[in-house]
Amino acid sequence: MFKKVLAPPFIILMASFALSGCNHDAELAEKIHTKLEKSAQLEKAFTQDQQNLLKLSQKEKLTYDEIGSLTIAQDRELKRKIDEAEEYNANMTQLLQDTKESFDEAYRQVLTIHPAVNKIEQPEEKNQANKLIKLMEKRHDEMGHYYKQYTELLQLNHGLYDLIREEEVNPDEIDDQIAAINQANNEMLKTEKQFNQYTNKYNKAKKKYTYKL
Amino acid sequence: MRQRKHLNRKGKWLVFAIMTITAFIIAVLVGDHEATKAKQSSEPISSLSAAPIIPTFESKEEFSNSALNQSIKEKSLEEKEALIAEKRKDQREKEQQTKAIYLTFDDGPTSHTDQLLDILDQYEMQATFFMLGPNIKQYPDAVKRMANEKFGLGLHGISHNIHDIYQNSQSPTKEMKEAQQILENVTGIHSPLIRLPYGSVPYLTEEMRYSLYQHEFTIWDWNVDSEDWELGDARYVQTTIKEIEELEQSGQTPVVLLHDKKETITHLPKLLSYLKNNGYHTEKITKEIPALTFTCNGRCYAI
Repeated sequence: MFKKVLAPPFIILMASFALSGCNHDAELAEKIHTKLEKSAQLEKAFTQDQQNLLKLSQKEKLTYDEIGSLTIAQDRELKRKIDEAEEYNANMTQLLQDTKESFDEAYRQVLTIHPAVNKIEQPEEKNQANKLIKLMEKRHDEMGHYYKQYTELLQLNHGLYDLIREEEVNPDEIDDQIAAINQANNEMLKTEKQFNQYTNKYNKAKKKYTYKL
Repeated sequence: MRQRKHLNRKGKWLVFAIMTITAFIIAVLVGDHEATKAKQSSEPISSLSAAPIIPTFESKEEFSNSALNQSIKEKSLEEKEALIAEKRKDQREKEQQTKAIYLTFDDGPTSHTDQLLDILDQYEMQATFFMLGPNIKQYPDAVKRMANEKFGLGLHGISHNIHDIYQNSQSPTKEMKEAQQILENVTGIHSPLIRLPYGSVPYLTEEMRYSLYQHEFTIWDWNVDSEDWELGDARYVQTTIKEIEELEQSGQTPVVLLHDKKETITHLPKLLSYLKNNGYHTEKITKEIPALTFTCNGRCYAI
């Protein structure tokens, strides 16, 4: 009696419950997807800030090269160019701050998926969503490191112009300062590379996660 | 015979109702699920990527290679040379009163230095020695004697090879610092007085000169070349006397280039007798005396 009459509806009912679970996860996934997209949208500002920083940095470098091409007899022009380079450097410090804030906003947006991720029932999907959060955390850590290094680098750069401005210029001391700047830049490039590796992983993980929706 | 049980009409209706409701639920759920999927697939999935860091800072070229640094060095050298020239004028006034002359001996010490010192002592004459580091190590007793007898002590580098000492902007400074340390180890005297092998023109470039000044060295050249090295015999005495007399007429204090070597020492008494008979007063070079240094004036070049 049970086999013939009740088993088919029972099986159908179980299947419908399972599908109902899938449906629940799909809704969560959609919510998560929306937030991730918003975060990626916010990273456009992060890219734009970096583009602005790059333009300013190129101007600062060009001004440094121009300073080097002058002679000590061109003292007025020299002073004007040093002032100009220091101003670029100060503006770079501000733009770096903006860059970090843009990234932090995108980061905070990703963190808002936490409650939704906790509710996901499918273990594999949950793991993938958690992996995304972890990779964003790693990007955030590297960004903190990058910001600290860049700030120190700009302080060294500021110190360089103070040395060039001195009455009694000491070329050895200036070269030591430049060596410190270049060394700091090389260290920062390593952090940039690490950040970009995490970004690649994050983008791949995001693609994999959203592909399944 | 097995008896089959059949549902009555009520039972049939119940099964039918259950199946209908179940089918309805499935239809709604699956339909909704499919609709969600359809809705999602109609939108572009994850079109945006997280952004990388763009390298925004470029490394800088060394300042020492810049035109600005070159001009700073040139200006600094010009100022220093002008200052020394000014001080030399004042010094000349003092030297004129005593009829001063500076005798300088390069390349020592040697196995003949003791004999040289004996002759100088005999004539009660002062002199300054520009010595090579390895020779100071080889003849430390001769150098100690010079120090004890208050002769002037200076440095002549290490290699005495133009391809070594004039190799790069820092190599003259490096050699002089090394020789300075050797002299200090032997005598306890820290001397800033130097003479470059073959003089400071033409091989000592402005870069090298600047570096030496940065390290507080005082560069001494000469205005009387005895030519003892080339002539190798008594003729150098006549050459030297002739040059001293010419210099005296032009109002300059003679700084005589001689070498610590056997042939020079052999004929030195003749020169010293001349100086004594003509009222010259030999002085030793100290760090307080403004140096007589050749100026490049565009003649200096790197090897």
